[in-house]
Amino acid sequence: MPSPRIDQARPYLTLGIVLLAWLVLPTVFKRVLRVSFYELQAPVEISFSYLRDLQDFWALKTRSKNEIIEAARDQARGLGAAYEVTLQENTALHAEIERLETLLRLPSQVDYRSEPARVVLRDFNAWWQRITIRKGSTQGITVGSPVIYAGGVAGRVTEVHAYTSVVELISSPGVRIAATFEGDTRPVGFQGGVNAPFVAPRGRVEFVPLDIFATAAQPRRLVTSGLGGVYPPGLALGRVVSLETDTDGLFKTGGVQLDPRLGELNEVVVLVPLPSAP
Amino acid sequence: MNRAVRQYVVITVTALGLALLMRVCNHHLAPLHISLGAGGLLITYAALRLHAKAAMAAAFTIGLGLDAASPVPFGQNALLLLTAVCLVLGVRHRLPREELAVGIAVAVVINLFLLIARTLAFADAWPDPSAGWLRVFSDLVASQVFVALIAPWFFSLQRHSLVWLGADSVQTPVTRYG
Repeated sequence: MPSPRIDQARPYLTLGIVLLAWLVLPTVFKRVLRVSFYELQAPVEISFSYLRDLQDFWALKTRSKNEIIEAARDQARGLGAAYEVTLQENTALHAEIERLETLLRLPSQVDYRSEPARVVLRDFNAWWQRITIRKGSTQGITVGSPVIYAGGVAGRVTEVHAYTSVVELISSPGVRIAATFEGDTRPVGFQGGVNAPFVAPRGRVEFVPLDIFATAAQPRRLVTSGLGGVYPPGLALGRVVSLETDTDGLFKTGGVQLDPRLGELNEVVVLVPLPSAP
Repeated sequence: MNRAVRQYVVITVTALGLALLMRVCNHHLAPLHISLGAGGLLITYAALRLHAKAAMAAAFTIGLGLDAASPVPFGQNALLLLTAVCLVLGVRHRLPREELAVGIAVAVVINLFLLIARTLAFADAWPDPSAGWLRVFSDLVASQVFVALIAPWFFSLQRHSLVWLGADSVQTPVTRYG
């Protein structure tokens, strides 16, 4: 029988051996293990998402058909006309872009395929803000694809699994995007922020030229610049509500108010880049 | 299947089930920007009352399950949980570990240890550290209250599952380390 001192040290000895073994374990093995653990848990997470959909379905079933039709009609009233105008504008703009590209012999911009996806889980904490969506490599989702929603840019796909993907939101502290102020072409830096409880998500803007001003009373809209090739240009990021000159006096830094709907996402659209034509 | 293996299976399955429920709970709390963490609770029962081998193996497996669903280096949670179990195993013979209050206190302390360890690993990415610590503090308060509230139910669930599979520690009182 081992002495009490050895007996007492046994758990720490085991911990040391496990730690050492884990450090020398090949990365391939760890990768396989991670994928296996994820894919084992994924079906349960997805089934929770389907259960929520079923719950919504039965909640709607309790209302009469007329009530639902009236609600949809109210929502659609005016939207149809607005969409029609936007469609016409889009067609005209696309034709203009193509004409200019041909004229200036520019390489054509990246085209995207829209892939709508339901949100399975939202994972927001002090260190990261991510959502899991119900589409994966089976549906052609690729790592790095931009993700949008009704309020503008939602984030970027960071992990792709067989039937699910993970999207890092723009409110995540680790996210950095090249942006511009609406109506200005000079690039600035956007970074996600730490989100305090019970308030709308926030971000940070830096490297802002000194002649740009924004206050809470007169906010400026921040959009993607298109630099870096991940996000198409002109997509809304948020509203800059404060700007202060840096200590070095060269640039300004400020706060960005993000859309509160970012915290309540139920559906997003993944923009899957299409392979460019030869 | 021997008793230690059955204990390992019960603890791992129930803990991963709770971790999944926590993720669903956090999904609904996301609009409020509050996040609950109950990592400490997942391993407390095993660390206090079960065979050391079963407790350590379960902690490592549960940690790998948590790692797979988080953007952390794979193995980080596993090693943190394993360390926490080792620390509890070192002191458990001095504690009245069958007491519910002791179980809750240990769960709360392990939870605090895990949250601080993770925060120290990720604090560099924060653009505003003061806001980051404020957020961590609010999450910590909410998590600790939540852990204290659900701990009696979760310990009971694990104990009944162990009894149901004939792997309860009451039938074979645990010695100091196993």
